[in-house]
Amino acid sequence: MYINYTRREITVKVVYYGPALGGKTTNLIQIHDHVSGNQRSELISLKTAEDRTLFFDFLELQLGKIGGLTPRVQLYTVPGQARYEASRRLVLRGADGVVFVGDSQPDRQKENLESWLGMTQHLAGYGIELQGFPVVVQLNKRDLPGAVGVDLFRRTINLNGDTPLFEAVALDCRGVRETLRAIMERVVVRLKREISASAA
Amino acid sequence: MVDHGDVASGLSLSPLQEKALEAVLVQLAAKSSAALVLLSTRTGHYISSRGTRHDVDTAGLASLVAADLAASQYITDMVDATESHTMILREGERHTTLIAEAGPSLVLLVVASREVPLGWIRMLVQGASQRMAEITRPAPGRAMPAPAAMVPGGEFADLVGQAIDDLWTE
Repeated sequence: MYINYTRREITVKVVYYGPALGGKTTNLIQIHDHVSGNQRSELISLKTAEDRTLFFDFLELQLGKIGGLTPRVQLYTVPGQARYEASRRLVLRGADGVVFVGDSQPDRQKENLESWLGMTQHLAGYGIELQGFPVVVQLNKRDLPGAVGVDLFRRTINLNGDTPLFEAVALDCRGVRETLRAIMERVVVRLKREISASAA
Repeated sequence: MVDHGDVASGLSLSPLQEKALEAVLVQLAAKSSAALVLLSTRTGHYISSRGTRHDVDTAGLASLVAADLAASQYITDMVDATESHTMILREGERHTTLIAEAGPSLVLLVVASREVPLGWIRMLVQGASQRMAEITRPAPGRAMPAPAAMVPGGEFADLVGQAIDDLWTE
């Protein structure tokens, strides 16, 4: 989070995390495509020759003024492939909230769990416990035949009932906006809480 | 005047600190004849920039500069070559690019013509980095009030949610 008093801006960082090919980059592409150019940056993607995320994707949104304050949202994705563990850790640094993008395909549940555990481990490395930290889960690819049930997915990653979960088909932009809205609301609630605690 | 503050995570700068950082940037840009001098937080939030280039996506560039520094520091840690002060140098055909840490919270990018002596730029960047680190260093023992008054109360979260909806075009 970065606060600029003079310009009355607050910038927060949200990271889309999850297993490889789960739809993290697709989320950012859809957001980019559905927000007008004067309210977002260009989408930056550091990709391999095979069009897979190498380091991160980046997109900044500028929200309209709220109470004289301009919130900015920086969206990042992590590379999902197993070999990029160190890069994922770096991208998580300074995150104010995380969207975990899970894959609905039955044969990807192990990867969902591994990615979830990796994320909690990296956050813990930065002194962040999941309890009280803004996390929203998006279960993507709901249109695929044989998609796992939401309850099974929740059990697979041992997701508690308080963490919101959105079903999505990111390729069709279903659930993308709802997920973004939910994480931003949680980030802002925590921001207010932190600021109040800091002022006390 | 709001005193300089910080919250549990992240960085907030008082107008006084921002003014002081701007002054360092202006001086650095002038002395180095830089095409671009850009200041970012270590987590990639753009703060400010100076120079003759105005066609740059500063938000995107800030994220890349911070990532570049973080990756370089990770690399040196992994090979047990940890540095006390990280400075990344790239010598292009027409420009020299320097990325340097400026204290624990900031990253500085300088893009200058190859005609400007490298030693001169390094010296300027080192000096500017040190001054920026001093400007953003919390004073020991001093309470760090946060900008509580700046953040709208009540239904701020709902308003932000509404603002996300308002961004959306079908």
